[in-house]
Amino acid sequence: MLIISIFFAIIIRLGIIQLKNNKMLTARAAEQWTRDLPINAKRGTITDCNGASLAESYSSYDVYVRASMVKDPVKVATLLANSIGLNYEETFKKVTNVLVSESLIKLQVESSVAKKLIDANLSGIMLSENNKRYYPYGDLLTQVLGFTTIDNVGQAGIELYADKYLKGTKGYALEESDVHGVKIDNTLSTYIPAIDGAQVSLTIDVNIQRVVEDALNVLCAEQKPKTATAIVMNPNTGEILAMSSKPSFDLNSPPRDDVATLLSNVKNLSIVDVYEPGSTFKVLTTATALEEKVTTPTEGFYDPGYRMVDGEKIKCWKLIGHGQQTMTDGLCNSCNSVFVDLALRLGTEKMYSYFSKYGFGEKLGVDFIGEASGILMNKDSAKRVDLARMGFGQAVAVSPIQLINAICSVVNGGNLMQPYFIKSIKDVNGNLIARNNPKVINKTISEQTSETIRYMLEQVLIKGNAISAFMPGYRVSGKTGTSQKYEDGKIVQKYVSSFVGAYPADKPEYVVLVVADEPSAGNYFGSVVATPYAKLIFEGIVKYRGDEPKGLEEDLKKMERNIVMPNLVGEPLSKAIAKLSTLGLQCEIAGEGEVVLSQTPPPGEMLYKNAVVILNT
Amino acid sequence: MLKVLKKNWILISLVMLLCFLGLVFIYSASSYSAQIRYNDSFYFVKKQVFGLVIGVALMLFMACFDYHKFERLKWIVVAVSFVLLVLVFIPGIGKNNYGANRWISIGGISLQSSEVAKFAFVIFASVYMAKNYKETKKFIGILPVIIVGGLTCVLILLEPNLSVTLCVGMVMLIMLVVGGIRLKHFLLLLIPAICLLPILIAMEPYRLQRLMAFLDPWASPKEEGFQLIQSLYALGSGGLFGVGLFNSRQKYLFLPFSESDFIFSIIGEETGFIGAICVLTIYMVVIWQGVKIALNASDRLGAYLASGITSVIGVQLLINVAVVTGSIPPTGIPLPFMSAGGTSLMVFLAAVGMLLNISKGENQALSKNFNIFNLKNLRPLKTKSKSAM
Repeated sequence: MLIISIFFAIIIRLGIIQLKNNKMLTARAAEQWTRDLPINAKRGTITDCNGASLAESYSSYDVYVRASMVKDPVKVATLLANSIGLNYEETFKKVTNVLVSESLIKLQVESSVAKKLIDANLSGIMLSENNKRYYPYGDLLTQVLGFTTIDNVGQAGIELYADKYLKGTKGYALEESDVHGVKIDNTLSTYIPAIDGAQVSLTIDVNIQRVVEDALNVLCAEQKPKTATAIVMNPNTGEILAMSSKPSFDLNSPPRDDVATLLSNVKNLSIVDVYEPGSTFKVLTTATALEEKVTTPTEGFYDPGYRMVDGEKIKCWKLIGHGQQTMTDGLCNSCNSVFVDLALRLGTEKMYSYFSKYGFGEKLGVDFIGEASGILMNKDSAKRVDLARMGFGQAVAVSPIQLINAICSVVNGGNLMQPYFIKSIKDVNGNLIARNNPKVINKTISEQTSETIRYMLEQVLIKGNAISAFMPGYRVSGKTGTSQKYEDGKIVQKYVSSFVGAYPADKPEYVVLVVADEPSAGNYFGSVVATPYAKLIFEGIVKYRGDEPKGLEEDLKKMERNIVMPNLVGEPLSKAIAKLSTLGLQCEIAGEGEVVLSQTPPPGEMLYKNAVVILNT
Repeated sequence: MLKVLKKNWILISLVMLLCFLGLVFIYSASSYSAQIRYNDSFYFVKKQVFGLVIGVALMLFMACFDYHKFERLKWIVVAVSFVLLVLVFIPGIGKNNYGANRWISIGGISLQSSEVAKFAFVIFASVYMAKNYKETKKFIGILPVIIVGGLTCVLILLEPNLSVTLCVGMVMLIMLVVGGIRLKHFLLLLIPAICLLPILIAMEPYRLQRLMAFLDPWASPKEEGFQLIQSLYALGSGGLFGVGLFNSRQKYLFLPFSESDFIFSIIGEETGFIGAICVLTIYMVVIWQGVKIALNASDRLGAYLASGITSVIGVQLLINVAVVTGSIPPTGIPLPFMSAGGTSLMVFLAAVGMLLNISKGENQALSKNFNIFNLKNLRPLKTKSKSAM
């Protein structure tokens, strides 16, 4: 009787489990019966404006070993160790480790190696397809493209910014598996295919990029700066045609082990970093002053070598002064005093309203992560003396992209364009998902003023100290900049040397900015440290476009070396400058002494008109 | 011989049916795991067939072996049983599995001592009580049974194997009841045994964890509760009609010991509630046949032996199914005739042989006598033990 009642109790219990809780238990059990196997989507390609592949993904294989299925561990371990290049003992350990269902042997093995493993047809070796990122140009566009993790997640640059487009949608294979997740034979799998990532086309032109990278490499080798940055933009559209920072690294082997180096070298300095632009900024002050009609190109200015502002003496780089000169000459001579006057004439309100028009102090909205807004002094706390300094590009900090973009606006007819990298994004079937069109952010100056600026800037290149960028037969314009750095509020013997210019000068299609931070090879003038390399870029562009020279003979005549460099060593500085001026040579003065201690180039060298001579005092 | 087989065709065919079903479900439950572990999907089936062949031979032998010979062999039986139980602790002979010494292994043949010990105790108790049936009313008279049973329990407990200990303990109580023990003596035994249980559980931490897991298996679905949950998944997904023979999903390594202690879960999964009830019904008929043999036995020894054997089958069946359905805390005990395990199968078949042998001497006149005895002794206990539940 007792046994019978227990028996019935158990039948009732069985009934509760099998009939009443049936659905709940089945549903819970079903979760463990199937396994989602993600199918990786192929990451999208990044191309330049001509369709050249800059970053692409190709199939690679992850190799696993399932010890329980290995029949010949020695053979399997030998094959794996030899074909992948692994330590035999460690591999053998994994091959014979039956405690785990699967051991990872190696991630991302090339398909040629994978084929070898498949062909060997040894049981126990498992391959799972994966995608590996490949950058055909290696050490090119390092900071712009950025890189991905080994799992193909965008980490920096466009790879990060456009990650959601590039990554695609993972697919799934839902398969029946045992407790270890091993697929059960002869069972159906549900297959949801992956959707590959979209193709991102950039505004970058890899041909120009190549030129820029080469120029910067030469610059780094010769001037040994801490960092060097260059940008080429189409001023009419805002398209970024080339952008580079040095030092960089090969994107196919980012220094993942050295995080500090990786992080500092992957920084796109053109966008995320700021600097004091110095004299290149004078172009903008000129444009503002002309637009606001507080001066004309021919207005006369007198420079005694300094300006007194509210009792403070603001020196010009040429301590003995430029004397009497026109506004245009002031820009050519890069005379600080002229720009102090212009800034003070404009006043705080107007200066700041133009800063805002030029896009300083705020983000431009570049399609890139981590854009800097630049640093502007609070308008209310800016004193007259600060304003005076801002006139020649000090007491303001801007990012290289902000500066070049503002310069673009004053040479393109007065439109501040939205700079951008991504031209279009197309899905895997070629359907357009997104497209960037040129967009005007602000109207900065009038077309008329812009035309004046274009003319002046070409004069500046020829008559000013950027003459080394002059290209006979081609019309190039440009302005150099050299700014001394502040560290902890004190001025130090460290410089930022730069050059910004346009080609063709009369109707610019390319604007080039070169910035070298802390050159350490002896020179620091923008005319020496940045300009010659900007010229390399212009030359490259001209060659790439196949532009024919015009008025070559006349230009060559201008560049005829018919002036003999005199010996100025030991002469008083003022006398030396006067001598050079009579000869039609320009000079840069290093040091603050009264007597010339040394000179470059040496006496007797043949120079062309307006060539720049460096005098050390 | 043939006469015996003919007379007990229901018992024999049902036991054979259970063994055969056992083979089918062992194959279904173990083919995948055996393929992975031993690279042979028939690994467990082969072992079971081996056990079945020997078991059938033993059954036929025991059917011919006069059970009265045990009267003289009782101490030898007890001695063999104890030797086997002690051997498991001797290194080199005893085999340690999952932290317990439950097996002895000599020359490639493994044997689970406690399977033999269960029936050795049944034989001893039957022989003793049949001889001294008048003494069972006195406490001193049942003392030898308690001592032998208690020692068997202690030795099995030391392996440790609590579930088989419980099984032997319960069989001992049933046999004492059948032997006509007084109620107060019965309670005198039962109460300390019940008190001892929590202590025994507290002694081994894993027992407590299992007990907790039984109370709430979902609290630790990855550890202690895992096996029970997997068993419930198996039974639950079986539903009314089951997922179909060989279609178990739980056998893919989800349910540990699916071919042995938890084979009933796979039966429930593949054949559903209906299949499970059918299997239980077969067992009930087998037990009923055993009870019939006990009632119709020609003498006390036969009756005691038959009821002892039948109660071992019944107790193990109930414990096993109760564990599998999560009705009592999980403990490893095989399902008679069906679970994979050679020793268990051989011993149970030999015991069935003994039942056949007992049924040989069935005598109408004597059986009447035992019916009276049964009623007299069992009736007052039934209600009491029920209320004790």
